[in-house]
Amino acid sequence: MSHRVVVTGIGVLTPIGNNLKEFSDGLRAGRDGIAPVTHFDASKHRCQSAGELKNIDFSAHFDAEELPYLSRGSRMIRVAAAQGLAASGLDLSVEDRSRIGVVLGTNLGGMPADKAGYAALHYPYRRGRAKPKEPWRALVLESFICAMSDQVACQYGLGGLSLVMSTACSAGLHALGVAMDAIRTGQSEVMLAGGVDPLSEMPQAGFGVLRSLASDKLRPFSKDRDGTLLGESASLWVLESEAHAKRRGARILAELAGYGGSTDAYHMTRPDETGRGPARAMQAALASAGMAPEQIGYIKAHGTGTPANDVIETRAIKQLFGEKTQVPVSSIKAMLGHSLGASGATEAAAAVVALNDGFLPPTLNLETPDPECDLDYVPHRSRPAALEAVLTNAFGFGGNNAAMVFRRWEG
Amino acid sequence: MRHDDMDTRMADATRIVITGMGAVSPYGAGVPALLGGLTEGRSALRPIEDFDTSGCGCTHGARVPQGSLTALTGSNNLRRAPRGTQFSMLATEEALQMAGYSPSTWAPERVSVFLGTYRAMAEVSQDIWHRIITSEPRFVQPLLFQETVTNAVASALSIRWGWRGTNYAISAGNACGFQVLTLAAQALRGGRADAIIAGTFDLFTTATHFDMDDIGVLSGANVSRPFDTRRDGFIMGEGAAVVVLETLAAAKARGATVLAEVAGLGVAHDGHAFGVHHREGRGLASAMRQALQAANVAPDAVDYIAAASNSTPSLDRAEAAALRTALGDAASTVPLSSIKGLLGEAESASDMFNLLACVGAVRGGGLPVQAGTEQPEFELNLVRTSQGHRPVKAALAHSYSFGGNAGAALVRALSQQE
Repeated sequence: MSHRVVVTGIGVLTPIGNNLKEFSDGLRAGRDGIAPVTHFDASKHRCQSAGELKNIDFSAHFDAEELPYLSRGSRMIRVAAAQGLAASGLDLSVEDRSRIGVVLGTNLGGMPADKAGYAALHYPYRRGRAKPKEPWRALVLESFICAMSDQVACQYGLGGLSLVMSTACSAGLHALGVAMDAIRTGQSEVMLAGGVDPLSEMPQAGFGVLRSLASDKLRPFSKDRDGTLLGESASLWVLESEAHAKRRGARILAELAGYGGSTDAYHMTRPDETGRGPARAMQAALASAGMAPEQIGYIKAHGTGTPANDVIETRAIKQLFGEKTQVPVSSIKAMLGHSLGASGATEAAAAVVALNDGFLPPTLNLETPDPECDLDYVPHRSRPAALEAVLTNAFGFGGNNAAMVFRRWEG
Repeated sequence: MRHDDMDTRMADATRIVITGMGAVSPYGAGVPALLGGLTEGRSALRPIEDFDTSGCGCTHGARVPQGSLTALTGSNNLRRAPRGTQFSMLATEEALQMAGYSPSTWAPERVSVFLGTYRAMAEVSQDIWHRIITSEPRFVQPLLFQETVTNAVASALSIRWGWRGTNYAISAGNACGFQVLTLAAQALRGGRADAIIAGTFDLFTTATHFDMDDIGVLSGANVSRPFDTRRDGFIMGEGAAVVVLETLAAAKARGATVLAEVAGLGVAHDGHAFGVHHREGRGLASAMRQALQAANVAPDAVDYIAAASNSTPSLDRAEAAALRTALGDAASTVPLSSIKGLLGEAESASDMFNLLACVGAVRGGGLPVQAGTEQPEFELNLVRTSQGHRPVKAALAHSYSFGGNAGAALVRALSQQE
């Protein structure tokens, strides 16, 4: 017994749009969301730009009393959750909330943006041993990653499976996958899923010393690519069984048709050069959807812009789709930056947008073709396309790979 | 093939069994040390010596003795690995040995590692922040930064043994052991893996001890006494535990020794208020009910309960209420103990310690003793003394977090015929 899983609502906060409509417009226009960092003093960092959220005023979304108790991560996921639920039209007051769960991808959760924020929270930096009071207590509890799913479960009174998936840069996609499994197996009829990661000085420093960050621009698949750029985002999806969505007359955005994962078992930070790990994840996602590579009209690549990822991902796609494949592939990270544990789910939303709004999001900054990266990467400008099914990838540190297939819903 | 054989084979493909287990606890390395200490009722709580606790109300803890890790084999890099990786790898070595593992036991693509943790790699990210705060971002240690991702431990295991199935690293408060088991059971039943290394790890550090002390959740009296009227907070513990999970069909097919069956699982969230659990333990009651229903075991057929209470006033009270809701009158008759009286609150590691305690119990190894508790507040059948030879067919392990996460597992011995 396996239930079909459908998407009925998506809320997103991204550097190029603060809801799904704005996000779609930004993707179509090829909007560049990268800018100098403002969340922390980046002057001492190797890299000083990132994709931060823009034009978002959290005080418009929360009571003045509650706001100081919420980390940036919590604010982001709570706003995305309100959006996603509103878009789905799901009336929680008539649902059995004891069976609705929430699964989110995150790396940092409620981690503070800068060193002053961290020092204010944690021993031995915070001043004095006078017992600090609220909101300090709440923010310390927020600094653990599972605070993100706890926040959503508590806000909406959800009693089902609640957890965060924290597998580096594939976390958001695995989160959607775990939620999909919960519905397929009948454990739940409705699941909330997605991802959230705020921009923080900690990974900006860490990826900096690992020499993973770009010197100026993120140039996916370009010969002169020299690294990724970080970003922040959140997305919250409402997933339902087909039967549940139909019963309540929901508008269905797409079918979440399949999901798969794999591990390289190769190296902590370097991906396996053969590309077999990502290829197995894509193959598993297709198998889970009961589909063949020929049925995929677009691949939303992981496309970090690091020298290793983009060539290996290209290799993996060719292994599965054929050496001469014409399938369009694009990386949207040049627009968004890499929002780590959130990116898998946020970028999956772009794949659903491509499917529904009929265009291929572009790969920006692809100025110099790389002979080893010779697919159709939809450079510079978006392109209209009638799509039936799309595939989205997310790969992470530790050789952790995930892929997912969405199919157009003819309802 | 006869129909009942076919039915049995199909049922076996959905039954989840444990074929190996490993632990690193404040008693040191190994499941025998853990189960021995628990059933003898030997406390692992000590004054903290490896950092200065002056100014803290609570000065005790249950640390994993560093000397107990000498059994570590494997890669040379391991001694420089974060403690969470060391603990988990040692526990995995033990579990694999018990499972009769050799490199040809499973296809590498068919083995997954699912790990849960509350504090994730906090011990590592603290060091990164320390560099940023006291020095400059460019002096952050790259080899340390790569260990900050929560899945660093799962990756280290997959690299060490060459496993290429999907890895998960999850967090669900300090109650994520049963979430891990639930995801693993789904993956095994769905045919996505032949074996899953499922476990949890959590550590306490100077910073977490001080932060928790200042939040006011640690015991100022330096006593862990779950369910006692005088309980005033918990004492921090740490460790890691791992089980090898397979379907009964797969275990039989390879002739593995089955240690116990995970016959029912339940996971839930209070959905109440952030950082504050529900007064009546709503989520925990739901998790326990789910586990019993899935295993088709009536409350009065449960022979032992490994409880979650950690000696804090509100959590213990909520657990007592949840037991009443889920088990009815059996709540006051089923033998029950919280190992946190002996080991402190090892957060997600406690979940798997509870599971292992139940496996030990259904294998005839005796019940963990309820230490510390002298004046019980609730009507519970606490295991007050060592009970070596009590027959246990079904045991219930559970966990409950301040954040509202809850989980439970019903553990059962297999009969000779199975």
